[in-house]
Amino acid sequence: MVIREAFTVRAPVERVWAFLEDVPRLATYVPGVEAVEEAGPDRYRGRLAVRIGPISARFEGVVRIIRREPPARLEAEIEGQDGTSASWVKASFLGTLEPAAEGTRLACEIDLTLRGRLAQFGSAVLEATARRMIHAFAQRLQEALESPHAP
Amino acid sequence: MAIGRSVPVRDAEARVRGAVAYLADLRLPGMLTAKIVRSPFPHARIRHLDPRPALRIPGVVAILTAEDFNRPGAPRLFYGVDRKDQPVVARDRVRYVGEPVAAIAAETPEAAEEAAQAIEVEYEELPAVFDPLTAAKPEAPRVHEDCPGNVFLHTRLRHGDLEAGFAAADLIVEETYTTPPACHAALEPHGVIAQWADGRLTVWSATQAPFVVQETLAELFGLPREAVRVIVPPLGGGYGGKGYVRLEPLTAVLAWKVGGRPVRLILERSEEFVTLTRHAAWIRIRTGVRRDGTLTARQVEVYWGAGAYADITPRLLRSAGLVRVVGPYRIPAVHVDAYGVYTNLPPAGPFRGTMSFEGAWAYESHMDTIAHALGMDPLELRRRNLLRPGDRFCTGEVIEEAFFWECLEAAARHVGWDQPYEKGEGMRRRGRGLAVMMKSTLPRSRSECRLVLRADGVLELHTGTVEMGQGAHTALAQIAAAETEIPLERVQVIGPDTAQVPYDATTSASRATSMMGAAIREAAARLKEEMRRRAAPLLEVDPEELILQGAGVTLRGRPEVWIAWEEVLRRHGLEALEAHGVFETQGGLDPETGQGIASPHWHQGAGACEVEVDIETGKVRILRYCAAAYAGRVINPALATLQNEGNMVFGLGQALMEQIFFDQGQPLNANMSDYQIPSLRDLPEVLESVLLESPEGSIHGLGEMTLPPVAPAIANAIFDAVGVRIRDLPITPEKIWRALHGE
Repeated sequence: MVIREAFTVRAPVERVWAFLEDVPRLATYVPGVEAVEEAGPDRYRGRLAVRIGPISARFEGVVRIIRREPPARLEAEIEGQDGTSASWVKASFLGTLEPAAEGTRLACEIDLTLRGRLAQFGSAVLEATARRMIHAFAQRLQEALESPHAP
Repeated sequence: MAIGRSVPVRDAEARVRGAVAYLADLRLPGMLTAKIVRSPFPHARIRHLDPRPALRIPGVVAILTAEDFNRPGAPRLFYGVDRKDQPVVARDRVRYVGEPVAAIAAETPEAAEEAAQAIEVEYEELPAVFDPLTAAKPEAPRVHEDCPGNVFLHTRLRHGDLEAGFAAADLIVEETYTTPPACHAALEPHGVIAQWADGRLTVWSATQAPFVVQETLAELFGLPREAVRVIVPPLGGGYGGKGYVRLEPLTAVLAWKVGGRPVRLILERSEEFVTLTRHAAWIRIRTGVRRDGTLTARQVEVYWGAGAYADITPRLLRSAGLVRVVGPYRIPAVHVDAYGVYTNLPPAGPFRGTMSFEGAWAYESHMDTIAHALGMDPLELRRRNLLRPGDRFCTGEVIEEAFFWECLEAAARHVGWDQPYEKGEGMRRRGRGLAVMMKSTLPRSRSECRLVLRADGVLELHTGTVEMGQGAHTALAQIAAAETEIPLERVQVIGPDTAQVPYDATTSASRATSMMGAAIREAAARLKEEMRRRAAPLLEVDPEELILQGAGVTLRGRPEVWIAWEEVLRRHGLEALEAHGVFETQGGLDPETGQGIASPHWHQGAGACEVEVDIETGKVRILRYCAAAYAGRVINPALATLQNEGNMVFGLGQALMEQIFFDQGQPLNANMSDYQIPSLRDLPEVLESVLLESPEGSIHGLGEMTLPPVAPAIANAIFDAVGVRIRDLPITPEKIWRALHGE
């Protein structure tokens, strides 16, 4: 399942890029992320809590950045597993930044495969959940970049 | 006369009132609940499977894994009606998302559910392949180690000189059509209860094929057939999804592990989508035609995506998969190549209109493409080529009963085909389309029945035909009543129960009324013969002088000398008189050439419709649809009409909506809110049904005849309306919109 979303933040491209590159800090803005630690060069281990339909899951997994083209393009691969709900997730992530009239346009494309119990709810529920998470992330990112205490 | 009367379905009122006991309503003392643990991966090695944590859960009675099959005296692990390639539970490898890896028997559904989550399974994912065309490439990942290229069977039909046929053509048209996997979506899900007692197995199953289940289970456990009893409660729909063998092996082996308590498995709706699907089909069709519309050659290449296990596909490929993709036309040269291909998807199998649906989708859409290229009316093109009585089909069979043209012409007339037509100019455009189809039934099969006339005047019909809401038991009772002249109210249908009724192949392929009906006629003739023999000494005459009349026996030319059947039985001190009936067909095609007998008779149906396309949204509305079928003889006009209409509605869903979406093997819409089937609001404003009869005609089945034409008739009407040709089912608004916008 491919999910594409785009939004604009009021900040120049370079600043947004610098913000995105700091993965441990960035992760604190992703809804549901409970822990992130560096596990090698361009490798991060983390935990993400998510609720899909009536089931709560806590995915443990690894994010691997496989390609970066500053300040325009970032590719990553994500793999995770939740023992409680016997579910697996595998995703490839492509994020692009481009200058826009009011700042920077962020576009992301996530190719997501979910397996196991969580997958039974079907793509409609899954997609809605993913989009809700992206929207929440976008809003937090905007607030962070636009606040006077912004990094 | 009991034939030709619209008597209501025997259990209609009980069904409506909810008084029919379906499998889910059966309660046996001490019954346990079964639950399947399924693979989340489309292709993986099972590295480790540990059921022990689940065994500690209170209420868990037994857990079945592949390990159990290693025990002495254990059943066989593999089964399959054609090739035994499917494990009851996966041993070291899973091949589709949803494949059973373990099964639990527990006191309560809650305990079973908890146990299912506690079983630890470690997988190592393997490369997987999903569409039949990719799977058939030599370098594709192997679904089964011993089947490189994943093609487990290639069958051929060779008729005439193909090269010469194409050389004689003025025009050659080639197209490719596809159909995706779909779900049968019967109202009642699959269900099985199994119980062992004294080395004998009893299975209650919502199956369309009790005797196939019996045979498979007997073989699996190394038992004589009689040690396995299969009882079939009324079904809440089947559509092929409950044909052959489904969950009976798993439930029976789980019950074997449990010991003596009955075990019940009923699938959840989401599991229905990974149990059996329609084949994914890729069909390339190439036809040569002369300027006057005469077809000169046709070449068809079909890849049938069978999913992870062969199931019934090999048997289908030896006949149905070849002859159901050609079309009811006189073509001097025909070549068909059909490939059965493994993929990492759930197994595919019979699906109402099996392989005719896919075939007609391709050849009837294709016929309109040809008509358009020739600038010829699509009805006229078909008229010039349709098979007529006495014509030879590409299998070499002479078609005696051929009413394709009559069906098509009747349907076309109902939508005013010969009238001038206004297509509209605004956002909504209208168009008309038609299609016809030819379907075989099983080439070789047997139906048996027993008629038991009791001294109290009741006639029992013992039959293996499964009642699944289609009204088969009603139609068969009508035939029994008509043949014996016993009033319909006094006919009782008994079965299916393999311990009580004689053999029947399956209730599928629209064969029940025609095949079982023929067996009943034979049994009735024998019963009458026996009756004359018994009555003769009572009347002190020679049996030759007796004739049968009105459920009694009378002397030729002396109608006042008459004795009722019941009286004959009473006077002989008999409790009942029995007669057995058998009807058997012996067909089959040569595996290299596809020549021979594909079908004892041919199913014939057509459809014509008028649609409206919203060019802003791509949405299609069916304004009018007429479904016409050749019935031979109509047993029950009301039920026959319902079959025709049911086919149309079923076909409408297949045409416009239904598809199981798989993402890397994971079904994405395995529920009834994301997987759309038609609702009342999707039905045409006008729905008409035509049933053609012929005085010399045999009784034909009607369960599928008008289904395959629906999708191509609609597609042809859409083409007529907006000039867009959709070749991949289902015809969604999105596909039309994209095509209209040149995407």
